[in-house]
Amino acid sequence: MGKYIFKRILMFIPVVLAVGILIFTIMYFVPGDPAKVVAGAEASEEQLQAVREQLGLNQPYIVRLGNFLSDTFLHFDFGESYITGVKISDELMRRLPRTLTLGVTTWLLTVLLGVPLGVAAGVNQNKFGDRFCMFVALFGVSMPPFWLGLMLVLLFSLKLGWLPSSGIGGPQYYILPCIAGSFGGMASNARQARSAMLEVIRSDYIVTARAKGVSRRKVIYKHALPNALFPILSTASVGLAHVCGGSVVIETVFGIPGIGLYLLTAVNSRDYPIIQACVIILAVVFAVIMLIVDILYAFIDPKIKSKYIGTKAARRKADA
Amino acid sequence: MSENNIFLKVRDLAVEYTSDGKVIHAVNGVSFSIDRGKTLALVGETGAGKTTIAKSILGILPDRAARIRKGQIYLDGTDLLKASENEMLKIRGRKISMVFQDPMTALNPIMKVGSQIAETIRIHDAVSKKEAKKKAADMLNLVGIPRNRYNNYPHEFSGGMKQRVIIAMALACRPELLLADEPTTALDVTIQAQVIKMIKDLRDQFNMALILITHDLGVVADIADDVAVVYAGEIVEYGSKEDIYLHPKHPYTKALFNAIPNLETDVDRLENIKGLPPDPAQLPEGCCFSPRCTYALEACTRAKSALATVENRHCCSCSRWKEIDGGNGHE
Repeated sequence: MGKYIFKRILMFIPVVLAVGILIFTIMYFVPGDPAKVVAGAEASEEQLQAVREQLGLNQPYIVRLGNFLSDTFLHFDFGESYITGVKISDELMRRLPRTLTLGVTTWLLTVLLGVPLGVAAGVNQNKFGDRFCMFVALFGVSMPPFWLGLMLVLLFSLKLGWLPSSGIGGPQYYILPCIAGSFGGMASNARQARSAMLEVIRSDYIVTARAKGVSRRKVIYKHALPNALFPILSTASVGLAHVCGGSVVIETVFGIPGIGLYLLTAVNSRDYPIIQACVIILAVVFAVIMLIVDILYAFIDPKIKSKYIGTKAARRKADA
Repeated sequence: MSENNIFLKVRDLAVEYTSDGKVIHAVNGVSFSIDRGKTLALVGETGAGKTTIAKSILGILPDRAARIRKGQIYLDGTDLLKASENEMLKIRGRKISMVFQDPMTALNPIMKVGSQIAETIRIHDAVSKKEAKKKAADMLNLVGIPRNRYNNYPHEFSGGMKQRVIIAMALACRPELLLADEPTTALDVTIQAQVIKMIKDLRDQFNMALILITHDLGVVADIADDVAVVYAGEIVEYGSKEDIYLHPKHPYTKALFNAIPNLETDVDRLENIKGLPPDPAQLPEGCCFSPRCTYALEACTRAKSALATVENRHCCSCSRWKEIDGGNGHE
């Protein structure tokens, strides 16, 4: 098992490296002159030249790429903002916890509400509860989160005055953003859980379990649900990646100073190093999630597990 | 023998499925009975309703799609169709067990095989986890699988071994009735013989009643006491193995036996029965076999005839069996 995890972590390196090269190259070819961003639109040619010299912008592509990669991955230094001059890594450290809090809470909501709803719907196929859940889910997948966010603000902040509409502070500031961000994921988790349950419940081994005298409840929770977890897990993990990426939208709507808003502001002001840093951070978060999911898969699926468990360990187990 | 002594008695059982608004008549008025230690074979083509009969006895028909229209199933004098779900939970796996057709998919892929056997034991017997584990390992041993394979998962077993595990699971609580639904269909021939022999030995060892569902007439000859020939959800001929094999009366039974190749004569093509079994959603009005029957008269297509006694317990639902046979009973 340790070998498998180690192998997966090794595979992580080229992925992150490739993202770094890709984002740098894209930013390199994007039209527009970073020197103009730094020096201002009215700067003279000499001033621009001086800025380029200072930031190393006049060096060839390959040298700049090399510098960028070594700064980023060897020294964990993302440079400074072109505009404010603030060190990006400091800013990231301040903002990342907010984005992660928002993202993980949102995701937990999508899983903890979506999966049980879907399972309940699948178990009670075609009854009223099922129809109702699926109707709500259809609503959820069709509703864009920014629109839902604005509607929630209108109702709970402006009309009722219960919750703050934007900014950060206590936990109450996270309530509306989490609800707005979780609705879509919750709906897709519910739909996936429902169809996975329906499929598993029709399997032969469920009939076998019933024939053994296992009660209905236990058939569902002990035999059907663990088998339905595979497709649910893959949808849920994509959902986590989704909410992290979706932080751009939610943070903008609710004015939360996290990575997403940082990225959006940087794109608007052509602050290239920040864009690169944010994309790399989001890519790393993505890759870590996928890594965890792969390891989880290996733990719940004995077929994958036995492929990677050492023969020595297997033999020891057999002797025991 | 008086009514009450009969171990399992199925009377006039009719089951229908609903799918896409169509009603499918899977089982139409089936009656039979079986004593302890005896074997009844249900023989017939795929889709004749054999598995549905077995699932009705065990009460594991799909909740929504299937409906038992009429009939009674008496086990030791109690009607299983009137039993509550809680009472049925105590019967399933304990008094009645079932072995399924496809061992590849009948085991839970993410549970250790040993635990799957131990689960049955834990449900029905008041034993500790440790005892259940030991008993489950004993059961594995009984069906010829080493005890140390207890912690293996189903994917680590071959088809024949999986079927052994399923049999071990079915027999773990010493059931009084075993329903074996084509237990050898998915296995290759050499393994088939082993599994059938094992079922036979265990039946004798535990004095179980056995209902064997199959379309393999060779297996039936080997193991059965009584045979019921099922066609389109009805029993068309019923009798002891000797009655059916030596004196088949119903044209369908005869046609089935004709489809078996004869070792003494050389033929290029095996005999078959022309046409297909009727669509269970639109059963013919008269005798179900009449569209395919070479002896069918016009009267056959208009009215069904009930099972009529040929001799002793041997009965046949063909209205013309006497004419076809030249008027003989058991010659």
